[in-house]
Amino acid sequence: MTYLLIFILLCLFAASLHYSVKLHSLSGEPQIYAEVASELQQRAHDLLVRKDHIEARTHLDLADENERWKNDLAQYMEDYEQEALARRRIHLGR
Amino acid sequence: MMDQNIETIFSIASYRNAVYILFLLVALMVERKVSSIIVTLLILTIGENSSNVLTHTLLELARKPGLEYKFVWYGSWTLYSLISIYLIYLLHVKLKLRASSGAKFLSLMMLVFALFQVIDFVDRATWDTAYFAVFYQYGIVIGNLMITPMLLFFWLRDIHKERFKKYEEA
Repeated sequence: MTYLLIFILLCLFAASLHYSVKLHSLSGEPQIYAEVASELQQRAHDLLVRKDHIEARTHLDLADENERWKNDLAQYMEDYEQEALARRRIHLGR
Repeated sequence: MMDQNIETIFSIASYRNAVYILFLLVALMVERKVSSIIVTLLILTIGENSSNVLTHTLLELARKPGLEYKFVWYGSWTLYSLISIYLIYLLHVKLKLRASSGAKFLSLMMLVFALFQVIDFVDRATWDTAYFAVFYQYGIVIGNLMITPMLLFFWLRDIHKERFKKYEEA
């Protein structure tokens, strides 16, 4: 009985420790930036996957698909650069 | 002696409540938006009010003999710390706020209080040495008194940093 109560109390404490560690992890980079970074990462991954698909299908009309892929890549790089500039302005102040 | 101590703690608690509410209002007027410190103060004020309401009942329960009643007292306070920390975390996530040093400080204090509860309960339940009872009695009161000045300090430091950054950019 005693040990059960102690165990419950320790569980409660462990849960508060868990959430407090999570809260501390929110203090680093602003969350919105972390989300943007995650989205950019996802888009880069999708682009790479598409490139793989294009290269795998050699018999179809490659030129058209390749052109579209390049456009998307350019758009991605543009977004990435804008994001990097915004971050530099906020974090480094220049 | 004991009752006198408890009465002192209650009167401190009611002042503390007023101070928290005042602090929250001032912070709201200065910040003019929902920020990390507002969320922290909001949870602190709500928690303080509900704990003030519950304290008398819990104290009466804790005075009864039997370990279960003691557990109700210690368990409730640990749960109170847990809920406060969880709500602060949840609101930060939902509102996409960056945790300020004030929020981090409060969660740390809540964690320390929870640790005090656990240690004192374990002491009471097993060896009953009461070595820790003094720390428990005064530690939590002193810790609670420290919260307001420390939060004020962290808040002002953050405001100062913000201003400084603006000047640097201009």
